[in-house]
Amino acid sequence: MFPIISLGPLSLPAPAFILIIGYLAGSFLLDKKAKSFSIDSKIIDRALWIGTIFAFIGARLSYIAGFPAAFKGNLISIFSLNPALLDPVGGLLIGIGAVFLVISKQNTNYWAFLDSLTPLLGSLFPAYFLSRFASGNGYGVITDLPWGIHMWGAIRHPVQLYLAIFSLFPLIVILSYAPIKNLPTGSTFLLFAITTSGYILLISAFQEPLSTQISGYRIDQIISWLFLLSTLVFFNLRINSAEIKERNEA
Amino acid sequence: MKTYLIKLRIPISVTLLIAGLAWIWFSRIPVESSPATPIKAAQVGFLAPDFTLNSLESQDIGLEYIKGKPIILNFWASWCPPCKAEMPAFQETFQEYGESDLQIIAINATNQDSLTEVTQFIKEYGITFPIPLDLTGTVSADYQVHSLPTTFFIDKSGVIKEILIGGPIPLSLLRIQASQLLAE
Repeated sequence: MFPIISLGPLSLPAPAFILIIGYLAGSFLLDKKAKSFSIDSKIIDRALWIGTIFAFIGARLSYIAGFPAAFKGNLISIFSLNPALLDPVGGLLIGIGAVFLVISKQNTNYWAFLDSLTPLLGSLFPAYFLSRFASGNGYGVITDLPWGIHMWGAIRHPVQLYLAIFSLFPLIVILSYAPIKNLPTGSTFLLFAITTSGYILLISAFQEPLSTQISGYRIDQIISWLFLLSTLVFFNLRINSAEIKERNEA
Repeated sequence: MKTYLIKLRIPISVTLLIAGLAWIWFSRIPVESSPATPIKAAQVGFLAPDFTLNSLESQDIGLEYIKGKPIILNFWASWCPPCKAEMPAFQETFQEYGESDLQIIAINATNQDSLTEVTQFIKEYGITFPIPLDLTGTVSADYQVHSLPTTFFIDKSGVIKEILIGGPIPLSLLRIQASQLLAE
């Protein structure tokens, strides 16, 4: 855990710093790889910017919609810069919606667009897990294994580091092999999603559960499994449709 | 190899899903299990570390005196602009929830402030909730306060539910957090 990076007189919040580095590295890789996915990087940039703006506005509106009474007589709070007044799920859904509207207006193939996002996502995931390690969030269960780390009053699994290490594999594969030849568009994204949900499902078992469990079953594992199921279904459907197309053409 | 994997994609997918379900079942937490001793740490989900500090009026203020009550615990200093900006919202919340069990405590990081400034600040902002003085910085260190203001939301069983680093915290957010703490 290292919440602050001290550079001389400057103190930087490490989690935010790591996330920014991850985003910048991801944007660089995205621009570099965009051509190989046959997509204009300017379209991706535009879609992502619009998506981000809509995500922030949506997150705030969604939060207000959840607690309208708290804002009565205090409307100025709506414009507060405090990020705690954001609903991440609502913002994410609205942001994704905005991105897809932009993409459909540009007549860009959705699957090709998703493929082109994988270098950015592949870079953001390790950064996200490392930032959680820096902040001390998402800590592991108590262990007596020799590589356990002292955190929050006990020796624990360095679960954020496990996740960060596992998340490097999809990134390396994308940078080395993507786009994968002889596979239909969307396969790079779907394989990335399958791998990501797979390792999260695996490693979440070592994460300290707070209140996120139902009858002993961890919610994050269940969500990862459902995500794995849906991405596997989509992947199989993409391959099937490509095979049918190939057969028809033959 | 690739063609082989594609041909076997359905059995591979089914195996992965079954293995996933088996892993979820295998790694489930036994319902009867509970932590042997609750750990005290400045992190969400842990018991809030105990403290006892003196106020300007030399009155003892600490968690042990308000056991069983939800607490909003703020760390501040008089020189910190976001602390100044959020203090009126804390005072308003204190007045709004005055008749409930909610406790608001704002620990002054006195080791990096001056008593004269603190006294003037309390007068200027008309603060009526308890202001303990952390003269040595020990409590700030126990709560791992790296930047001011930092606010902890503690439920009636003494567990930290939320930590907000930085500010200013708007009144609406304090109202939401207060209502959630009281509803638990």
